[in-house]
Amino acid sequence: MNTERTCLGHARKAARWGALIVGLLPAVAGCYPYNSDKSTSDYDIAMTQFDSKADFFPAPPPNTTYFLPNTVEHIVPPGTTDTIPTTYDSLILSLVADNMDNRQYQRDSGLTIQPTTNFIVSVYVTSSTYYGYTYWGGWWGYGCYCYGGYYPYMDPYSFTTGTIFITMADQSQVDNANKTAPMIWGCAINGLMYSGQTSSRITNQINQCFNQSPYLGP
Amino acid sequence: MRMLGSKFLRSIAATAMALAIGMAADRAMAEEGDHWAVLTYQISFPEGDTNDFIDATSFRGIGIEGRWFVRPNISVGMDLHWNVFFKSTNNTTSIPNGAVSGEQDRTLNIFPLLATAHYYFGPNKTFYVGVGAGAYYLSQQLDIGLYTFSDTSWHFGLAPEIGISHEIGYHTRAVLALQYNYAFKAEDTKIDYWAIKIGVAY
Repeated sequence: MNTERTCLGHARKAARWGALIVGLLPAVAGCYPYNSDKSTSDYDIAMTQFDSKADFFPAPPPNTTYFLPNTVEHIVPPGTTDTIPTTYDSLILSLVADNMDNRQYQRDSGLTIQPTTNFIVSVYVTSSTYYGYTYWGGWWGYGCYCYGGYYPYMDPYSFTTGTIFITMADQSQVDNANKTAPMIWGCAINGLMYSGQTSSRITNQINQCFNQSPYLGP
Repeated sequence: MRMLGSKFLRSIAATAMALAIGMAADRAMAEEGDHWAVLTYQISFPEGDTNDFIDATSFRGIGIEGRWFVRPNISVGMDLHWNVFFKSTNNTTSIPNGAVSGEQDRTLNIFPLLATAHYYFGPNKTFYVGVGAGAYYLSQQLDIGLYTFSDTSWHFGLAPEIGISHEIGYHTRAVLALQYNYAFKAEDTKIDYWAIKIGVAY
Protein backbone atom coordinates (compact mmCIF):
# COMPACT_ATOMS: atom_id res chain seq x y z
CA MET A 1 0.00 0.00 0.00
CA ASN A 2 2.81 2.37 0.88
CA THR A 3 4.41 1.57 -2.48
CA GLU A 4 1.13 2.29 -4.26
CA ARG A 5 0.74 5.63 -2.44
CA THR A 6 4.30 6.65 -3.37
CA CYS A 7 3.85 5.71 -7.03
CA LEU A 8 0.53 7.51 -7.28
CA GLY A 9 1.97 10.54 -5.49
CA HIS A 10 4.91 10.72 -7.93
CA ALA A 11 2.53 10.38 -10.87
CA ARG A 12 0.35 13.22 -9.66
CA LYS A 13 3.37 15.41 -9.02
CA ALA A 14 4.66 14.67 -12.50
CA ALA A 15 1.25 15.56 -13.93
CA ARG A 16 1.26 18.83 -12.02
CA TRP A 17 4.67 19.79 -13.33
CA GLY A 18 3.63 18.83 -16.82
CA ALA A 19 0.54 21.01 -16.55
CA LEU A 20 2.62 23.95 -15.36
CA ILE A 21 5.06 23.58 -18.25
CA VAL A 22 2.21 23.29 -20.76
CA GLY A 23 0.71 26.42 -19.26
CA LEU A 24 3.89 28.35 -20.04
CA LEU A 25 4.28 27.02 -23.60
CA PRO A 26 2.59 30.10 -25.19
CA ALA A 27 5.36 32.11 -23.56
CA VAL A 28 7.96 30.44 -25.76
CA ALA A 29 6.78 32.40 -28.77
CA GLY A 30 7.43 35.67 -27.01
CA CYS A 31 5.34 38.70 -26.29
CA TYR A 32 5.59 41.76 -28.52
CA PRO A 33 3.40 44.54 -27.24
CA TYR A 34 2.96 47.52 -29.48
CA ASN A 35 1.43 50.95 -29.38
CA SER A 36 -1.83 50.47 -31.24
CA ASP A 37 -2.82 54.13 -31.05
CA LYS A 38 -0.85 55.26 -34.10
CA SER A 39 -1.71 57.64 -36.89
CA THR A 40 -0.23 57.58 -40.39
CA SER A 41 2.35 60.23 -39.50
CA ASP A 42 3.60 58.04 -36.62
CA TYR A 43 5.13 55.76 -39.23
CA ASP A 44 7.36 58.54 -40.59
CA ILE A 45 11.08 58.20 -39.96
CA ALA A 46 14.06 60.46 -40.66
CA MET A 47 17.54 59.01 -40.79
CA THR A 48 20.78 60.89 -41.31
CA GLN A 49 24.35 59.76 -41.91
CA PHE A 50 27.51 61.83 -42.24
CA ASP A 51 31.21 61.51 -42.89
CA SER A 52 32.87 62.17 -39.55
CA LYS A 53 36.06 63.32 -41.31
CA ALA A 54 34.30 65.88 -43.51
CA ASP A 55 34.80 69.62 -43.05
CA PHE A 56 31.35 71.15 -43.34
CA PHE A 57 32.68 74.71 -43.28
CA PRO A 58 35.79 74.87 -45.51
CA ALA A 59 35.27 78.62 -45.60
CA PRO A 60 34.10 80.67 -42.63
CA PRO A 61 30.31 81.16 -42.70
CA PRO A 62 28.58 82.58 -44.62
CA ASN A 63 31.19 82.02 -47.35
CA THR A 64 30.69 78.27 -47.66
CA THR A 65 28.61 77.81 -50.80
CA TYR A 66 26.31 75.12 -52.10
CA PHE A 67 24.52 74.34 -55.32
CA LEU A 68 20.91 73.10 -55.25
CA PRO A 69 19.17 72.31 -58.57
CA ASN A 70 15.67 73.59 -59.28
CA THR A 71 14.22 70.11 -59.74
CA VAL A 72 13.72 66.98 -57.69
CA GLU A 73 14.90 63.76 -59.31
CA HIS A 74 12.28 61.01 -59.38
CA ILE A 75 13.71 57.51 -59.14
CA VAL A 76 11.61 54.89 -60.91
CA PRO A 77 12.48 51.40 -62.15
CA PRO A 78 13.87 51.38 -65.70
CA GLY A 79 11.21 51.10 -68.33
CA THR A 80 8.37 52.23 -66.06
CA THR A 81 6.36 55.43 -66.15
CA ASP A 82 7.03 58.05 -63.52
CA THR A 83 3.78 58.31 -61.56
CA ILE A 84 5.24 60.06 -58.53
CA PRO A 85 3.36 63.33 -58.08
CA THR A 86 5.32 66.55 -58.49
CA THR A 87 2.95 68.42 -56.18
CA TYR A 88 5.45 68.65 -53.37
CA ASP A 89 8.69 69.12 -55.32
CA SER A 90 8.81 72.91 -54.88
CA LEU A 91 7.99 72.55 -51.17
CA ILE A 92 10.83 70.06 -50.71
CA LEU A 93 13.35 72.28 -52.51
CA SER A 94 12.35 75.38 -50.58
CA LEU A 95 12.63 73.54 -47.26
CA VAL A 96 16.12 72.30 -48.09
CA ALA A 97 17.21 75.77 -49.19
CA ASP A 98 15.74 77.40 -46.09
CA ASN A 99 17.48 74.98 -43.76
CA MET A 100 20.81 75.42 -45.53
CA ASP A 101 20.46 79.21 -45.51
CA ASN A 102 19.54 79.23 -41.83
CA ARG A 103 22.81 77.39 -41.15
CA GLN A 104 24.78 80.16 -42.89
CA TYR A 105 25.43 78.35 -46.15
CA GLN A 106 25.27 80.54 -49.25
CA ARG A 107 23.41 79.23 -52.26
CA ASP A 108 24.92 79.71 -55.69
CA SER A 109 22.43 81.63 -57.74
CA GLY A 110 23.46 80.21 -61.13
CA LEU A 111 21.86 77.35 -63.00
CA THR A 112 25.10 75.36 -63.19
CA ILE A 113 27.73 74.29 -60.68
CA GLN A 114 30.56 76.78 -60.36
CA PRO A 115 34.18 75.73 -59.83
CA THR A 116 34.15 77.62 -56.55
CA THR A 117 31.08 75.86 -55.19
CA ASN A 118 31.89 73.91 -52.04
CA PHE A 119 28.97 71.47 -51.82
CA ILE A 120 26.49 69.93 -54.25
CA VAL A 121 23.09 69.24 -52.70
CA SER A 122 20.70 66.91 -54.51
CA VAL A 123 17.16 65.76 -53.79
CA TYR A 124 15.60 62.47 -54.95
CA VAL A 125 12.18 60.97 -54.47
CA THR A 126 11.02 57.38 -54.90
CA SER A 127 7.97 55.34 -53.99
CA SER A 128 7.14 51.66 -53.52
CA THR A 129 3.84 49.83 -53.36
CA TYR A 130 3.43 46.70 -51.25
CA TYR A 131 0.72 44.07 -51.60
CA GLY A 132 -0.43 41.44 -49.17
CA TYR A 133 -3.44 39.66 -47.77
CA THR A 134 -4.88 38.59 -44.47
CA TYR A 135 -6.29 35.09 -44.26
CA TRP A 136 -9.42 34.54 -42.17
CA GLY A 137 -10.30 30.96 -41.33
CA GLY A 138 -13.89 29.84 -41.62
CA TRP A 139 -16.34 29.27 -38.80
CA TRP A 140 -19.05 26.66 -38.39
CA GLY A 141 -21.50 29.02 -36.73
CA TYR A 142 -24.11 28.29 -34.04
CA GLY A 143 -26.44 25.38 -33.68
CA CYS A 144 -27.55 22.68 -36.04
CA TYR A 145 -28.05 25.08 -38.95
CA CYS A 146 -24.70 26.91 -38.54
CA TYR A 147 -26.18 30.35 -37.94
CA GLY A 148 -23.58 33.04 -38.59
CA GLY A 149 -21.06 30.64 -40.11
CA TYR A 150 -18.84 31.66 -42.98
CA TYR A 151 -16.30 30.17 -45.36
CA PRO A 152 -12.59 31.02 -45.14
CA TYR A 153 -11.59 34.07 -47.16
CA MET A 154 -8.64 36.32 -47.93
CA ASP A 155 -8.66 40.07 -47.41
CA PRO A 156 -6.16 41.77 -49.78
CA TYR A 157 -4.50 45.05 -48.96
CA SER A 158 -1.86 47.34 -50.39
CA PHE A 159 -0.01 50.41 -49.25
CA THR A 160 2.43 52.82 -50.86
CA THR A 161 5.44 54.34 -49.18
CA GLY A 162 7.46 57.33 -50.28
CA THR A 163 11.10 58.16 -49.61
CA ILE A 164 12.88 61.50 -49.97
CA PHE A 165 16.68 61.45 -50.19
CA ILE A 166 18.75 64.59 -49.62
CA THR A 167 22.47 64.27 -50.25
CA MET A 168 25.42 66.61 -49.93
CA ALA A 169 28.65 65.98 -51.84
CA ASP A 170 31.97 67.80 -51.53
CA GLN A 171 32.90 69.17 -54.95
CA SER A 172 36.59 69.22 -54.05
CA GLN A 173 36.48 65.40 -53.87
CA VAL A 174 34.60 64.79 -57.10
CA ASP A 175 36.33 62.21 -59.30
CA ASN A 176 35.47 63.23 -62.86
CA ALA A 177 37.28 60.27 -64.40
CA ASN A 178 35.21 57.73 -62.50
CA LYS A 179 32.20 60.05 -62.21
CA THR A 180 31.93 59.69 -58.46
CA ALA A 181 31.18 62.28 -55.81
CA PRO A 182 31.58 61.08 -52.21
CA MET A 183 28.55 61.89 -50.08
CA ILE A 184 29.49 63.65 -46.86
CA TRP A 185 25.92 63.99 -45.55
CA GLY A 186 22.74 62.17 -46.38
CA CYS A 187 19.20 62.18 -45.18
CA ALA A 188 16.40 59.70 -45.89
CA ILE A 189 12.77 60.34 -45.00
CA ASN A 190 10.30 57.52 -45.30
CA GLY A 191 6.60 57.18 -44.63
CA LEU A 192 3.21 56.11 -45.88
CA MET A 193 1.83 58.00 -48.82
CA TYR A 194 -1.73 59.15 -48.49
CA SER A 195 -3.62 62.24 -49.46
CA GLY A 196 -3.87 64.04 -46.12
CA GLN A 197 -1.31 66.06 -44.14
CA THR A 198 1.50 65.35 -46.60
CA SER A 199 2.81 68.95 -46.65
CA SER A 200 3.08 69.17 -42.88
CA ARG A 201 4.66 65.73 -42.64
CA ILE A 202 7.27 66.58 -45.29
CA THR A 203 8.01 69.87 -43.55
CA ASN A 204 8.41 68.23 -40.14
CA GLN A 205 10.67 65.46 -41.37
CA ILE A 206 12.98 67.63 -43.50
CA ASN A 207 13.38 70.02 -40.59
CA GLN A 208 14.04 67.04 -38.31
CA CYS A 209 16.83 65.84 -40.62
CA PHE A 210 18.64 69.14 -40.24
CA ASN A 211 17.86 69.45 -36.52
CA GLN A 212 19.46 66.09 -35.79
CA SER A 213 22.60 67.10 -37.73
CA PRO A 214 24.27 69.68 -35.45
CA TYR A 215 27.57 69.38 -37.39
CA LEU A 216 25.85 71.26 -40.26
CA GLY A 217 25.77 74.33 -38.08
CA PRO A 218 23.38 75.81 -35.54
CA MET B 1 4.34 38.70 -36.28
CA ARG B 2 3.48 40.72 -33.25
CA MET B 3 1.52 39.11 -30.43
CA LEU B 4 -0.68 41.13 -28.17
CA GLY B 5 -0.24 41.33 -24.40
CA SER B 6 -3.40 39.20 -24.08
CA LYS B 7 -1.29 36.16 -25.00
CA PHE B 8 0.80 36.87 -21.91
CA LEU B 9 -2.34 37.10 -19.78
CA ARG B 10 -3.73 33.89 -21.25
CA SER B 11 -0.44 32.21 -20.40
CA ILE B 12 -0.72 33.36 -16.80
CA ALA B 13 -4.33 32.19 -16.55
CA ALA B 14 -3.49 28.79 -18.04
CA THR B 15 -0.55 28.33 -15.69
CA ALA B 16 -2.52 29.36 -12.63
CA MET B 17 -5.39 27.03 -13.56
CA ALA B 18 -2.97 24.15 -14.14
CA LEU B 19 -1.33 24.76 -10.78
CA ALA B 20 -4.68 24.94 -9.02
CA ILE B 21 -5.77 21.64 -10.56
CA GLY B 22 -2.48 20.04 -9.63
CA MET B 23 -2.67 21.35 -6.09
CA ALA B 24 -6.20 20.05 -5.59
CA ALA B 25 -5.39 16.62 -6.98
CA ASP B 26 -2.16 16.16 -5.06
CA ARG B 27 -3.14 17.67 -1.73
CA ALA B 28 -3.90 14.43 0.06
CA MET B 29 -0.71 12.77 -1.10
CA ALA B 30 1.76 15.62 -0.37
CA GLU B 31 4.83 14.78 1.65
CA GLU B 32 5.66 17.97 3.54
CA GLY B 33 9.14 19.45 3.03
CA ASP B 34 10.32 17.24 0.14
CA HIS B 35 9.94 19.81 -2.58
CA TRP B 36 8.37 23.11 -3.48
CA ALA B 37 6.66 24.06 -6.69
CA VAL B 38 6.81 27.84 -6.89
CA LEU B 39 4.81 30.07 -9.19
CA THR B 40 5.60 33.79 -9.19
CA TYR B 41 4.53 37.02 -10.78
CA GLN B 42 7.49 39.30 -11.41
CA ILE B 43 8.05 43.03 -11.67
CA SER B 44 11.41 43.86 -13.23
CA PHE B 45 13.67 46.93 -13.28
CA PRO B 46 16.30 47.26 -16.01
CA GLU B 47 19.94 48.14 -15.38
CA GLY B 48 22.99 48.87 -17.53
CA ASP B 49 22.67 47.97 -21.20
CA THR B 50 19.12 46.77 -20.66
CA ASN B 51 18.20 50.18 -19.28
CA ASP B 52 19.95 51.91 -22.20
CA PHE B 53 17.61 50.11 -24.60
CA ILE B 54 14.44 50.24 -22.51
CA ASP B 55 14.37 52.45 -19.43
CA ALA B 56 10.97 51.30 -18.21
CA THR B 57 9.75 48.97 -15.49
CA SER B 58 8.35 45.66 -16.68
CA PHE B 59 5.05 44.44 -15.26
CA ARG B 60 5.04 41.41 -17.55
CA GLY B 61 6.87 38.63 -15.76
CA ILE B 62 6.10 35.10 -14.70
CA GLY B 63 8.22 32.35 -13.20
CA ILE B 64 8.02 28.70 -12.33
CA GLU B 65 10.46 26.94 -10.04
CA GLY B 66 11.04 23.51 -8.63
CA ARG B 67 13.02 23.17 -5.42
CA TRP B 68 13.99 19.80 -4.00
CA PHE B 69 15.26 19.63 -0.43
CA VAL B 70 18.47 17.68 -0.18
CA ARG B 71 18.80 18.77 3.44
CA PRO B 72 16.16 20.23 5.78
CA ASN B 73 17.49 23.74 5.04
CA ILE B 74 19.09 23.33 1.61
CA SER B 75 17.30 22.90 -1.69
CA VAL B 76 18.41 22.56 -5.28
CA GLY B 77 16.23 23.00 -8.30
CA MET B 78 15.35 24.68 -11.55
CA ASP B 79 14.03 28.14 -12.31
CA LEU B 80 12.35 29.11 -15.58
CA HIS B 81 10.92 32.54 -16.01
CA TRP B 82 9.89 35.03 -18.65
CA ASN B 83 10.28 38.77 -18.43
CA VAL B 84 9.10 41.25 -21.04
CA PHE B 85 10.36 44.81 -21.26
CA PHE B 86 8.56 47.22 -23.54
CA LYS B 87 8.70 50.91 -24.29
CA SER B 88 7.20 53.13 -26.94
CA THR B 89 9.22 56.27 -27.61
CA ASN B 90 9.80 58.93 -30.26
CA ASN B 91 13.22 60.11 -29.11
CA THR B 92 15.99 60.62 -31.63
CA THR B 93 18.38 57.70 -31.42
CA SER B 94 22.07 57.91 -32.25
CA ILE B 95 23.50 55.37 -34.66
CA PRO B 96 27.11 55.11 -35.88
CA ASN B 97 27.82 58.36 -37.75
CA GLY B 98 24.22 59.42 -37.70
CA ALA B 99 20.83 59.46 -36.08
CA VAL B 100 17.31 58.21 -36.65
CA SER B 101 13.99 59.71 -35.52
CA GLY B 102 10.53 58.23 -35.49
CA GLU B 103 7.99 56.39 -33.36
CA GLN B 104 9.72 53.34 -31.91
CA ASP B 105 8.38 50.26 -30.16
CA ARG B 106 11.19 48.55 -28.27
CA THR B 107 10.72 45.04 -26.87
CA LEU B 108 12.89 42.64 -24.92
CA ASN B 109 11.77 39.07 -24.21
CA ILE B 110 14.09 37.37 -21.73
CA PHE B 111 13.84 33.66 -20.86
CA PRO B 112 16.22 32.56 -18.09
CA LEU B 113 16.57 28.82 -17.49
CA LEU B 114 18.60 28.35 -14.35
CA ALA B 115 19.81 25.65 -12.01
CA THR B 116 19.31 26.92 -8.48
CA ALA B 117 20.40 26.33 -4.92
CA HIS B 118 18.82 27.89 -1.83
CA TYR B 119 19.66 27.99 1.86
CA TYR B 120 16.87 28.49 4.39
CA PHE B 121 17.17 30.05 7.80
CA GLY B 122 15.17 28.80 10.77
CA PRO B 123 12.96 25.77 11.18
CA ASN B 124 10.07 27.48 9.39
CA LYS B 125 12.20 28.44 6.35
CA THR B 126 11.01 32.03 6.72
CA PHE B 127 14.11 33.64 5.22
CA TYR B 128 16.28 32.26 2.44
CA VAL B 129 19.11 33.13 0.13
CA GLY B 130 19.99 31.47 -3.12
CA VAL B 131 21.65 31.67 -6.48
CA GLY B 132 20.83 30.48 -9.96
CA ALA B 133 23.13 29.86 -12.89
CA GLY B 134 22.33 28.92 -16.43
CA ALA B 135 21.18 30.12 -19.80
CA TYR B 136 19.41 33.31 -20.78
CA TYR B 137 17.63 33.53 -24.12
CA LEU B 138 17.14 37.09 -25.35
CA SER B 139 14.82 38.21 -28.11
CA GLN B 140 15.24 41.88 -28.92
CA GLN B 141 13.03 43.80 -31.33
CA LEU B 142 12.91 47.40 -32.54
CA ASP B 143 9.94 48.60 -34.58
CA ILE B 144 10.51 52.00 -36.15
CA GLY B 145 8.33 53.46 -38.86
CA LEU B 146 7.38 50.67 -41.20
CA TYR B 147 10.46 48.59 -40.36
CA THR B 148 11.33 45.94 -37.82
CA PHE B 149 14.81 45.00 -36.62
CA SER B 150 15.16 41.93 -34.44
CA ASP B 151 17.90 39.83 -32.98
CA THR B 152 18.16 36.81 -30.70
CA SER B 153 21.03 35.61 -28.59
CA TRP B 154 21.96 33.13 -25.88
CA HIS B 155 23.90 34.13 -22.79
CA PHE B 156 25.30 32.53 -19.69
CA GLY B 157 24.16 34.26 -16.53
CA LEU B 158 23.84 34.30 -12.76
CA ALA B 159 20.93 35.24 -10.53
CA PRO B 160 21.48 35.74 -6.80
CA GLU B 161 18.34 36.00 -4.75
CA ILE B 162 17.01 36.69 -1.27
CA GLY B 163 13.51 36.03 -0.15
CA ILE B 164 10.99 35.30 2.54
CA SER B 165 8.26 32.70 2.74
CA HIS B 166 5.33 32.24 5.06
CA GLU B 167 2.94 29.34 5.45
CA ILE B 168 -0.59 30.38 4.52
CA GLY B 169 -2.31 27.03 4.34
CA TYR B 170 -1.83 23.30 4.19
CA HIS B 171 1.51 22.82 2.43
CA THR B 172 1.13 26.24 0.83
CA ARG B 173 3.41 29.21 1.35
CA ALA B 174 3.46 32.81 0.18
CA VAL B 175 6.78 33.84 -1.32
CA LEU B 176 8.34 37.26 -1.78
CA ALA B 177 11.83 37.56 -3.22
CA LEU B 178 14.29 39.96 -4.80
CA GLN B 179 16.45 38.56 -7.58
CA TYR B 180 19.23 40.16 -9.60
CA ASN B 181 19.70 38.74 -13.09
CA TYR B 182 23.01 39.23 -14.88
CA ALA B 183 23.68 37.65 -18.24
CA PHE B 184 27.22 38.00 -19.55
CA LYS B 185 27.98 39.69 -22.83
CA ALA B 186 27.33 37.74 -26.01
CA GLU B 187 27.07 39.19 -29.53
CA ASP B 188 27.75 42.67 -28.14
CA THR B 189 24.82 42.51 -25.71
CA LYS B 190 24.54 41.84 -22.01
CA ILE B 191 21.51 41.78 -19.78
CA ASP B 192 21.05 42.90 -16.22
CA TYR B 193 17.92 43.66 -14.28
CA TRP B 194 16.30 43.32 -10.88
CA ALA B 195 13.12 41.34 -10.36
CA ILE B 196 10.67 41.35 -7.47
CA LYS B 197 8.99 37.96 -7.31
CA ILE B 198 5.59 37.52 -5.64
CA GLY B 199 3.95 34.14 -5.59
CA VAL B 200 3.03 30.92 -3.91
CA ALA B 201 4.94 27.75 -3.16
CA TYR B 202 3.32 24.37 -2.83
